[in-house]
Amino acid sequence: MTGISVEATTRGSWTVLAVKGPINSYTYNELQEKTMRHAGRVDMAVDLSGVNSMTSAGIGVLLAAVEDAIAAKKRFVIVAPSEVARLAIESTGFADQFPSVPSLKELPA
Amino acid sequence: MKIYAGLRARSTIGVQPGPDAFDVLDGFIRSIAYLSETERLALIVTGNEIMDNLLTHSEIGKAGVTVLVRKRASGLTLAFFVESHVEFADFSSLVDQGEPLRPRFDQKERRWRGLGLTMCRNIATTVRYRPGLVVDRVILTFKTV
Repeated sequence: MTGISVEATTRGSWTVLAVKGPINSYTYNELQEKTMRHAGRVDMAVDLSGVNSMTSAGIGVLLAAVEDAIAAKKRFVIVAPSEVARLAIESTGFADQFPSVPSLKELPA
Repeated sequence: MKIYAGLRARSTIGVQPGPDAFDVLDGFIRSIAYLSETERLALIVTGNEIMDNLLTHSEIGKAGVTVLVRKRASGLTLAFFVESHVEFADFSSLVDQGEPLRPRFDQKERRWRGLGLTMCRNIATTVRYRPGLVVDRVILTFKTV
């Protein structure tokens, strides 16, 4: 799978972005466009369960979304990160910036 | 795609630049039977990061990128070989100086700098950029798990 898909849905008060595929310098624009559309405007959850690889290009996008959320007093969570996504995030040293829940069912009300 | 995996637990592949490079690299690493799941995960995350860095910031020659995985009792190695180019030498001198030590957001270019290198350094035991007259090398070593 060369490209990624980013599908936006609504779940309660949350806007959920479900990301599938590899996030890298060739594909992160799709993620950036979708996150910029929602970040800081709504409570946003990013489902990373379908991400099979993630480079710093993608993590930079997520960090920007977190900052936008904090500035606007909105919530931001990562949902069910794949093993690859989890290790990529942890390895940045910024894991504490990314609150996560194990599944969409665990999203706070 | 040519994969050579023998008794010495050594595998190589040639990867051409372009969006498919990540799929090829992923398929290669996932196909190596002698890696544990922990090792495989470490190689996928760091390998994608190095590949992304090479494809984005380097001039890849016609030979593309050669990727080597080698496992011995003493440890695991992931290495990248590319045709020599000046950007690589410039970056390697920065790495050798220990900069950037911490990831920082470049307000001017609106992007993070040093994030990928930090990721690799936190996962691998060592990360070395070695420029050469003909071939440049990126060599990461890991503990076997």
